[in-house]
Amino acid sequence: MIGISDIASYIPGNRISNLDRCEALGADKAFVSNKIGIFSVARKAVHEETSDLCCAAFERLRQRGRVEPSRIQAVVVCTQNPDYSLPHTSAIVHGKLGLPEQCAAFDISLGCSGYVYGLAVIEGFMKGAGLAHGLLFTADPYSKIIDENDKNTSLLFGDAATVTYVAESPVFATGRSTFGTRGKGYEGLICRDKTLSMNGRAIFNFAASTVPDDVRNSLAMNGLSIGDIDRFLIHQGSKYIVEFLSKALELPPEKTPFECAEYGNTVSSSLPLMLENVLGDASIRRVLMTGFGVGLSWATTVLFRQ
Amino acid sequence: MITGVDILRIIRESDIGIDTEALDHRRPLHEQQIDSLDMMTILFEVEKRFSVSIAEADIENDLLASIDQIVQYVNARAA
Repeated sequence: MIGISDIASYIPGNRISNLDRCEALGADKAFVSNKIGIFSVARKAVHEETSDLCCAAFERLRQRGRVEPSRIQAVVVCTQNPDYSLPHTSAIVHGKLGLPEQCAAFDISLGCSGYVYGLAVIEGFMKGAGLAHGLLFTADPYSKIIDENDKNTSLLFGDAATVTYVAESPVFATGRSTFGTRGKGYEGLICRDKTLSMNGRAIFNFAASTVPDDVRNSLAMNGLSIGDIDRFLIHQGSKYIVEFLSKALELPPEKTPFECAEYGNTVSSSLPLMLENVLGDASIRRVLMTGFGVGLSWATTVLFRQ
Repeated sequence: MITGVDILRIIRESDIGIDTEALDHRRPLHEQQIDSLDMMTILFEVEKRFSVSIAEADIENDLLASIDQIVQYVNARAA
């Protein structure tokens, strides 16, 4: 059986304080603190490329001594802000990491739902091809496309990367996953002329109307109820949406973390950044993860500690 | 037909932390400590509960700024 064996992350050291720029952006400090819940957002260095963020995350993984680069058979990068439109960023990461040539590499173009989709894709691919060692990267630096004067996006999104080592004898095995798409709503979060724009209400309505039922469906498919889950990892769009969904599902607040206050909504890295923190906690046996956003797209799954 | 009481119920159930009894039904809600995210939640519930679709342009044109306006909007579309 393959599954999640390890996770490492890289959050760039640069930060932009949200509270310091409230006045300039016409935002209310109390609103930003209490509702958005993001005090600062991470920003990669100008010279850092998406592949560099991936490599930085991998270096942290490699230093733990449990991954041997020469054994990697699959590299998947989830990003919608690649180094170049072509070649795929996973190929660039492959080259920078000096991975063996007998290694598959491909990108997945997904945003906030990308980690759950990405796990399903890489695990399915590896099982089908009989592979035992794979890396799933999430790296989607929205700073490449954000207008820092747009408070709708600038105060939310932060840069980060994660890498998940998918291998045999995993820490967590992936249960059954649910997936969804509402393509008619694609304009709700879109990049046109290299600039991101978001219709906050459209995205909120989408999440509010879609995610609760998807979480219930996912639990049912996995033969579980809310009481069986030790952690609910909800995509960290904002404190408000996490709390809204938590209330809608009547989730225990202590099991539904909000952890991105100091770095922001990191898109597909949002879920694995939190999952990394519970990987070593043996008391956390079952984790539900739900990602939702650009597309519009959503996916939910349950992880089972082995 | 809905009334202001129905909207007040939604606001109370939204856990905004506002004394709904003190709300002036004629004044814009954003002038009464209800912020943009609170309004999103309120209007989401209005759409869901009363099966009405609220156009973005109508919000931008302040057609749903107050409780009275929300009531009027919903009832006009239910007729």
